[in-house]
Amino acid sequence: MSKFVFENWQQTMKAKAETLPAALRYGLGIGPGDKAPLVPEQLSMPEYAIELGEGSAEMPLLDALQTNMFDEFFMRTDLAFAKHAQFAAIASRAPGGRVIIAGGKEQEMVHIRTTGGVESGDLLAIVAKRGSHVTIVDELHAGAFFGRTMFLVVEEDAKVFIASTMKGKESNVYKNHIALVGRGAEITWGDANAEGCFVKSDVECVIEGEGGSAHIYRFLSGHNDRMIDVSDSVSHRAHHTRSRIHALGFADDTSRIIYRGLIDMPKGLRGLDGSQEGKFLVLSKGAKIDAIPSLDIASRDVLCAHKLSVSAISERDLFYPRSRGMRTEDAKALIVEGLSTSSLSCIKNDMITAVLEPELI
Amino acid sequence: MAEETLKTRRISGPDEALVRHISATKNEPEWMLELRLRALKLWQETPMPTWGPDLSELDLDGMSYYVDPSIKETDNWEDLPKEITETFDKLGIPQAERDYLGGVGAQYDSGVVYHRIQKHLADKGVVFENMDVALQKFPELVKEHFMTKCVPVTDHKFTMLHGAVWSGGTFIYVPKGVKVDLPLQAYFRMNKAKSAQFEHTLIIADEGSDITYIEGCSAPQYTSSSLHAGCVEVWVKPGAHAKYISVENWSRNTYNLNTKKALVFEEGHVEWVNGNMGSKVTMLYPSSVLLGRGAKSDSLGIVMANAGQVQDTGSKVVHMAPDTVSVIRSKSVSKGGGVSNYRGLVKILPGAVGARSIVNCDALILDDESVSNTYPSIKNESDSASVAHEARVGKIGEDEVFYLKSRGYGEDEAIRMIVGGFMDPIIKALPIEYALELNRLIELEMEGSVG
Repeated sequence: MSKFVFENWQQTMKAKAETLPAALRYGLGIGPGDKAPLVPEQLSMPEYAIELGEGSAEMPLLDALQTNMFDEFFMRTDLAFAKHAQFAAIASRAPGGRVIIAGGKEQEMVHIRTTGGVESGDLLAIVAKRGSHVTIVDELHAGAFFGRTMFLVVEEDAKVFIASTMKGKESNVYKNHIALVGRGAEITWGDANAEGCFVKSDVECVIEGEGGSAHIYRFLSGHNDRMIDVSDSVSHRAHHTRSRIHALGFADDTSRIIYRGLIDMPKGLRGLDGSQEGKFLVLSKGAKIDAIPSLDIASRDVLCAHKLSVSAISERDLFYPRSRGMRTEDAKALIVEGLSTSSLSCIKNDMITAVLEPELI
Repeated sequence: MAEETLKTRRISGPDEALVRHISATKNEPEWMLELRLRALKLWQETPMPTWGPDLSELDLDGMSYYVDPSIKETDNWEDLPKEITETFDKLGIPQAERDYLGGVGAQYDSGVVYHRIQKHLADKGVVFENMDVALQKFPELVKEHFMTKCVPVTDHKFTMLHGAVWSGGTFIYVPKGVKVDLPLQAYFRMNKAKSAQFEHTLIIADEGSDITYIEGCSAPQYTSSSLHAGCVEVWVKPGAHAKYISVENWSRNTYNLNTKKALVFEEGHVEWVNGNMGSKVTMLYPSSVLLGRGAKSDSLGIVMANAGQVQDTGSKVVHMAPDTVSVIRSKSVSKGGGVSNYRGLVKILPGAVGARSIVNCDALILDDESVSNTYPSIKNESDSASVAHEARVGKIGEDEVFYLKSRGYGEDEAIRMIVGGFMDPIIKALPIEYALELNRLIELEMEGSVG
């Protein structure tokens, strides 16, 4: 693919974004209102600090366009952009980004620290090579506005753990992550966004190879007047695939959380196994939580379930810690911490839990 | 033939002339005509809904919106023309009335043809009337409750259409403290080809009263599509209990776009029990608005989606008051390429302190052609409420079938038994006679499920 083709692709994305009605430009859910421009006309390149193991390599996006390896991402862009008009807009204006090829030996570490300017955007592409075991820490420091589109390809029999976090108290952040999971491959995605006044974040895993699996762990923490709108989905596209989506969220003060989950099991596939689990707590009178965990099942040989609770911390829950002398606020914090720790312990990767834990507690 | 005894009017979509004709024929008060005309205007201005199942094949232009039976309502089956009594005989309605019902109403296309209530209930002040008659006899009561706060005409596109051309239906008023010990029943039959039925059911359970009401619905199969856009409003006053049961078995070319809603006041309790077997497309979401402290709503639904059917059902509850409780249970079976969708909403407003809600959906898929989707929506704005939702979608386990086959059952029979067991919690909620009917319907739907 040449730079010319890339620019054409950007033009197509831009045209797609602009033909959508205003109501759909932010996709489903909530928009930021007056807090952010609809589509920033001038995005700057963020700065990167990338640490890699010996078996990995990275290069600027525009250099990578000279190689054939990048074609695969762009051939699949309809998949990613059909549902996310705002990301199409951001991607079409992203001035560049990075491409990382990870793998080569077992237990590879990739640490990506991205620091945005006032208004920044990028495209990030990561390939976990066949049979590799990769742990990725994706740390974003956003300015007033940041838009990111991330493609992650998990090749055959590769195993990837990824933790995404975000800093930037006054930021408006749009993050769209798409993972393509190959035959026998496995991805575990942990995402925690503790900061940002408006965060829209999607994680979509497409399991394309037989025996592949995808786990998404989503942690949401609403405070002050934050608005968080997230969507987690797994599409099963091959036999004998497995998905798990876990979401844990707390809404305090006057914050608002919208959570949407989807497991899609299309026609004709066999041996599919999926589940979604969500637990959300409303911690104050002004907070709001909307949760829509959906299942689209068109195949017989499946087992798919979801469970969800949206509740408050009851007087009964608070009674024991208070009877031991704790203040109500401390008792609530203890319960929140307990739930977070319990969810984190499901992730079988110490590095990932160590990265996510400070974001929750 | 039944059609030859009916005066029919076919127009290209409902218009003002038709609305005025219906209102004049029924000798309605001025306010009802105004309501109809307002609804018609809203209907004409409102676009078709773009969410949910595909309604593009619903041909609204060539539909008969009002079919006026040339016979008068009676309380004696023998007064009715033979073709009508034969239809209801085949459905077992007169027999059921003799055996276990407190009162029966029967509607044939747009008009109610039969209505009777047992004397001891009438003596207690229970009113069980044709909706058109109730409008004449109890105008103030109807005016206060008809499409006002429960289901306003503005609710959605098809309540607007319903408000404009509604005809027939049931009116029930249960006075304060009166317990109706036997269920009341109405049966709605849509007999004419390419017609639409818009019966209106209004139930008012006054303070401390108790009522169980059953509705059955059916239509014969024609090649052209039919429309059913009924409306059910239930007012559950403080401390009252109302149980609404319906078994809908519309023909496979009917669009069943029904609206059912209850307003539940302090310590009131509403129960919805719905079985949906037939129709081409069903969009039905019985709703409860819990207005008073301690109000409760139970909703049970079973759905069977067979070849060519889309069953888009669910339940909605809005908790507006403290200590309100809602339970939603939904079960669906998809086979032969049928699509069943659960679409539900639980909304808890800030004032609903200590509200609780449980939602449970189970779905079975019997073949690779069928689809089951689940779209629950939970909106919680209270810091002391609790909502829990769980859903499971799966196939019949091979070990379950193996166990039954090892006991001598054929595979077909084994699957039927497992599906029967899957539906059992809902069937148990029905009166025994209805449970038998529903079981028979499930068995009919399950025929040829193997292979």
